[in-house]
Amino acid sequence: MNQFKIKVNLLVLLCLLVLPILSSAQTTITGTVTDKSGSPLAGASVVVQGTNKVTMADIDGQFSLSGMEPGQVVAVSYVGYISKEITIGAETAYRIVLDEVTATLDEVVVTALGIKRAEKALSYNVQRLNNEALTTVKDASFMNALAGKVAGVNISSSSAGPGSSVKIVMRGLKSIQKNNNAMYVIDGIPMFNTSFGSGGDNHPYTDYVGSDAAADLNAEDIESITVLTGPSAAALYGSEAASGVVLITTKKGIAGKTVVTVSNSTTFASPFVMPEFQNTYGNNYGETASWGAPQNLYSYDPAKFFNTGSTVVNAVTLATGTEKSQSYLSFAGTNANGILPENEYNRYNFSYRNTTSFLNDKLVMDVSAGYVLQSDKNMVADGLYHNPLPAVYLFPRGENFDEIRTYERYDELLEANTQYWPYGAGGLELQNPYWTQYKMTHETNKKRYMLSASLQYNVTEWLNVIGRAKVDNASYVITDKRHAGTLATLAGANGFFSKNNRLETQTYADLIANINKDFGDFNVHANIGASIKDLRMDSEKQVGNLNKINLFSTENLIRPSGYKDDADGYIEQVQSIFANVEVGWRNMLYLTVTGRNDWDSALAFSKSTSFFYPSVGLSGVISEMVKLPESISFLKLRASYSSVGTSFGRYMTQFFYTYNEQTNSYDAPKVYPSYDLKPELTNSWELGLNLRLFKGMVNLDATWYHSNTLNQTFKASLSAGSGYESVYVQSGDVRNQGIELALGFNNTWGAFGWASNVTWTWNDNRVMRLANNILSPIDGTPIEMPETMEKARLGDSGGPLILLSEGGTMGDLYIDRALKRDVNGNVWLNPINGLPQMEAIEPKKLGTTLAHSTMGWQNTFSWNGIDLSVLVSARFGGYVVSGTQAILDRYGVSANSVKVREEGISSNGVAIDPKGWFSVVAQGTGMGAHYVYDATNIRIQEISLGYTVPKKWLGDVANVTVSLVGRNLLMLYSKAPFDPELSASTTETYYAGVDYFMLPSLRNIGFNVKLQF
Amino acid sequence: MNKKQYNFRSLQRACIAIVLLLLVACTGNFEDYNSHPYNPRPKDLTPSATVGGLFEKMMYQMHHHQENDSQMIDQMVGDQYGGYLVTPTMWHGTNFSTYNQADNWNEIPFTTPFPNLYSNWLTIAEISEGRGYIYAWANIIRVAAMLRVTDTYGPMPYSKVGGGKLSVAYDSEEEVYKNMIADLTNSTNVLETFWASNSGAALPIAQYDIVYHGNFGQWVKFANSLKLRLAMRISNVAADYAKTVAEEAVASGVFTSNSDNATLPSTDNPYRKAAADWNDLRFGADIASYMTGYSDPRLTYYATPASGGGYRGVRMGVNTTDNSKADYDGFSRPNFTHTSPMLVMNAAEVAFLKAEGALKGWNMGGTAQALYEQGVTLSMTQYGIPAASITAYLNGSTPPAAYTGLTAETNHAAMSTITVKWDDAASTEQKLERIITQKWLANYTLGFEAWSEYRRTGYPKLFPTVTDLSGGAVNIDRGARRLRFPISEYTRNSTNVQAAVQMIGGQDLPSVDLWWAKKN
Repeated sequence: MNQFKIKVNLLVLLCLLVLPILSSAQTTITGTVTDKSGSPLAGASVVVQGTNKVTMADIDGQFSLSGMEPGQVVAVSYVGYISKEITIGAETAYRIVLDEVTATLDEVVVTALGIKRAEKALSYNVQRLNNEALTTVKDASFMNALAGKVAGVNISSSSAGPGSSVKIVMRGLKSIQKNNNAMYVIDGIPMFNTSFGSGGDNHPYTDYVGSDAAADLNAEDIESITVLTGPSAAALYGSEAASGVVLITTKKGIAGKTVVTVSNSTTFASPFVMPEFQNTYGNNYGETASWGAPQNLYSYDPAKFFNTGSTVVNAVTLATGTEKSQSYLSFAGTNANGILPENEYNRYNFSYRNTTSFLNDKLVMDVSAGYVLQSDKNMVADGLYHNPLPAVYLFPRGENFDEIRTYERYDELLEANTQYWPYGAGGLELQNPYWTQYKMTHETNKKRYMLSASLQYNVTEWLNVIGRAKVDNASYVITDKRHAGTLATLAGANGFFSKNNRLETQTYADLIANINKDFGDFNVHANIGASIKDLRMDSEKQVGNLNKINLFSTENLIRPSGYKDDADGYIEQVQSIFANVEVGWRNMLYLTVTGRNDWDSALAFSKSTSFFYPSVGLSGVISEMVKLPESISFLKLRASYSSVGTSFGRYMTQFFYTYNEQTNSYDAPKVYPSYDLKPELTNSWELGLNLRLFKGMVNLDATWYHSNTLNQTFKASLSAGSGYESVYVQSGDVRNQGIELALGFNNTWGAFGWASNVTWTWNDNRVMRLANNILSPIDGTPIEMPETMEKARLGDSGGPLILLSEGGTMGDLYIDRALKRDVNGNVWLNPINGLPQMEAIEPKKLGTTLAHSTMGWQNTFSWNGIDLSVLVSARFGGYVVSGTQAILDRYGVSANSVKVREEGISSNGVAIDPKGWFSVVAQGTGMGAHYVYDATNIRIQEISLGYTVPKKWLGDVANVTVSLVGRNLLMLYSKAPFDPELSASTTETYYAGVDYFMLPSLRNIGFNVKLQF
Repeated sequence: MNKKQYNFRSLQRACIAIVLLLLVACTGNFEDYNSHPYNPRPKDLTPSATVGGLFEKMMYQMHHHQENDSQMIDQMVGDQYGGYLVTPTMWHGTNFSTYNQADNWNEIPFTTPFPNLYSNWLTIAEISEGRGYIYAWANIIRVAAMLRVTDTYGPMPYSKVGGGKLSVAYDSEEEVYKNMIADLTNSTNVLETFWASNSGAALPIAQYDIVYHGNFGQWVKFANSLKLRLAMRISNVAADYAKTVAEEAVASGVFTSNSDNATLPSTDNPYRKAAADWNDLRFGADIASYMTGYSDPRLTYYATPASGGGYRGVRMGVNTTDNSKADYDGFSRPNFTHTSPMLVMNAAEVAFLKAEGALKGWNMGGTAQALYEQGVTLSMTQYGIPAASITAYLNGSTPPAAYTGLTAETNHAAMSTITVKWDDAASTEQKLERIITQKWLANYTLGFEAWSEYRRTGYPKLFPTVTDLSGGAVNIDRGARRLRFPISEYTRNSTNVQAAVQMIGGQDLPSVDLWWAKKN
């Protein structure tokens, strides 16, 4: 393979080196066409008067004309702008600034493969965010700053605190079995996002979580973000793009000046939504649960266990350059302490980028390098075993919490300190919460480097060829140390150690020819290319109990008892060719056709060797075509259809034995051997309009979309008698349809400016077809499938569950337990103990966990350098489940348990013992519908108040902006006992909106200072 | 200029064409990429290794070694219903010990061993084309593993498993037993022939035989002993057939000494782990009552002393509070080390089976008394008990002890007055109780065998559960008589499971007696 890469690279070089010789340099004049703000006007028409010489400005607004003589007149025109004529003099470079006819028209956006396109030509929805949207209220992970600002995107923060991964779902859940998270593309190159964020799904055994690769980015390096919510824009990116794309453009150097910025952002975090506790009743002696008599010995507040978290980001950037060469250099340090003791996240980013043009700007080279050092410690999202919260929340109220702050005591027999926790495991594996944090430490250390290079050769005015390559390698060392004295369930008598070394490499390379040429009224813009993506991972993990006490070394692991060794790895390579052809007519009507063919290594051994997927789109600028009322400055209608193919997962096409680390043997697969699989498909179309009124004072972007994800590969469970657990079948159809709306208003009245933007998203998710009536791939007989498919139990047995059925959503919430009732409908009480009883019932649908719609409303006021911005976000519809509340009730530590104790509870006039009541309805993690809550919530998501200090005050040395910022400031409406937007797992599709001792969401308040020299 | 452009165009075309060619050519590595770097495919292994590695997983289905399977299957169901061990943990309040186990736990003793065994067995059947000693060997293991499942649920898919069928019809219990006995007979025939010409040869497959290390003569003895176990189980409902099978098995050669015992090796014994690391397992009150009453010298090998000295078991059904497992911290736990082997079948059991056969008048090569005493002696010597202690034990005339628990409400008088010493004048029923009780003590911790024999004979007499949450579905004096069919079978294999319900009388209840069970 390496040989192949070298070949391609050599070929690219060869092409690029030979070509200049063929098309020898000529004397030309060059020009740059921009608007007043300096943004390039791509496609501006350039005519040399009195000749037939015509050209067009390229995507950077640049053009060149050869064979020019002084005195000739060049006319530059662009739709929506006032044309300008320049007379050629002795100079060879010209800067032409066109004034707008109307206030706003179209802008250049970065689309797939880093290609810049005029927005009006696009047949799909794009939403752009500039650097300010990300850096005003900074978060350790930049994606959190996007919440509420983009339509069609659902962003769930992880409960694991600073730097933890973020779940981003665009236009609804599409795949029944696979990850539904959006894809990231940096400067036109896809980034495979490795996430260690999978908590939640396997509680209470949930392991530690980690960060993800996207969180590594330094927000200061980001110039802008383009969000492509639909798959149509992404047909050129391949399969992962079916779930939507976040396109990130990083900063470059600046020509002609040197700008240094120094910034500091410091925010402090505290719990935002906490459960309500009680302190009135203590425990009975020797019991964990607080169902004893009233007590006034101790006043215990679980919130005091939390520290004030802090996130400090310091960044320095340097941008400099000449007309020919620009460089950008940055450093950022992010140091965050979570609200839990010993929970840390640290990251250091170094990046460098240089853009240089050679050979009369015919050759442009862009190189960049980045290095990231990242570490995190004790990142916990939820669960029991590694989470201090169960012990903190359930601490027996008649006992003294201060006594356990000294969490270890010397044990003479052990000759070491051991855990002090006299209250027992309490049925929930409770340990001293300080011990959990200080003596059971989970750390990740990551070193990641990214190198990329691109070389663009401008062959003619209308043709250039670009070749790019990027390597992105990360190495991880993940350790888990548990000292002697840890609960025996989790560690041996002398301690426990696990170490995982993991190496990830991603390589991407492409070669693209870009053509932009006019034919009369027509303009053809085409990109034709080939790419290769190669992902590799190799991991070695050793786990075991310790021989010598608290000596954390893999050599010190006891073998063979309890020792586990796991080697894992993969290679996945996709080779593609693709083409994107856009035909424009008079700058008002655009037709775009794309096609891509992927050869994916995961298809090896199957009957398919590759798969093809096309898209077609049409965009028309109505305001150019017909005379519209004066108030309508711009109106564009667009429509597109696209199809995105996806390979099924790797290793699914042949028989192999799998290593079983527990039995140390190789097992035959428990999935029925059936290997005739086909690639999956998402077909979607969208309609949209972009409207600007009153010279851009009002903007409206609206999109209606509809997608069907077909041929999904999933494991159908088999009857045990088949001898296997499941078989892969391909069936299913999940439809999503919805509306994305962004409505904006902005105006200024003298020194006062007001901008108001609303985003609103509505998505209707529906499972159209499951695997019913599918035929056995072996003998063609129908496989019996249940009408509903259980995807997740949101808690213990008896708790709510997610069942998929045809006609339902991918988050349908059911209950299968209910209170037994007598013939009159009253709650039945068992005559023996006077308690009600839960009985199993046929699964009954309660609703869905998916939101009906989400909204964000941002208002920005500016006056004389003071900016005030307020973002309110809301989610409507859907349910969440709280196992935490059930357990707090059952252990008698919740405010709710006091309410029931004091107000009593009865059935048909017969009082029920409160403790007994909760032992029934709050059994496990809560029975049936008893701990299900409406997820609708409205909050003040962000407020920022900034002031730009007038430069003259500082002797014209620097621009200084200072701001006060806050996130999650106030919950205006919520019925759930936890933050419903919080997620324990960021990779699980179904286990969402479940609180099982999740860390609370955080309220952040802080300040930013930015100096620009 | 134009010419040069065209030059470039053709060059560009050439570039793309070459790239395309390279792309197409380069997918040749895809088969390597799409093969797991560390997990082998059959072609990466020698012929013996392709099937050999599968035997280990199958063999551990005869007595689960994987920690979760052991807990969910052997410990919670077999050992608990069989009176050996008790789980003191409440978990979610829906437990086997209180007869209100959740549906998704109730199905584990079915849905775990089936794919664990058959995914391997079907692979072996395909590679061996259903012939030869490998296939014969695999079939013995299949019977030993699946016997536990049929004895738990009743009818189950057996003869119709395989052949690409994804929904498989159930065999009735009678069919299961007769098919299993036929399979054992076929296997012993094949293996006897194979062993006659290969005895002593260095077989490459031997390294995968974790029980007898390639000694197929021992596997023949194991298969015959197993056949005797099956025959005895159905001796009350198919008396003549059972007699024929049992006599045939004994005549062909069964276990006679402890060196014949079938055990599975362990590096991380799951009983130790559940008891010591997880604190989820205790020594049962039943076995403690019998062994302390008899002053049984095996007690120190079976259980750890209670915190106040002596041995105290725990009664089933005390796990109804979050604190229950801590409350019973000081009670005896099963006494296993990391490397304690897992019992599959021992010579003592065979002696007791023969003793019961002799009691029925079958030709077992000895009298009931001689075989009974042989069984006790074999079991004692298995644990290295000196001969003098064995003699004393065999003359024991003390009854089982009463139970004193943590709270007064768990106290209970001894369930039985049966003693150790053989009494030839005793009734046949008393003799049977004596044999079964001693077999039970010798078979520790073969829980499923204990529970099955309890249901077949009513012995040993066991304490009822302390807490019955079955809502009347279980008669606590008789205990659970079976488990309901897996809930998943009703959605994935509904027609066949409905037919199976008809085979057991039309009601899928835990109170339904299996074919061979004692009916009152």
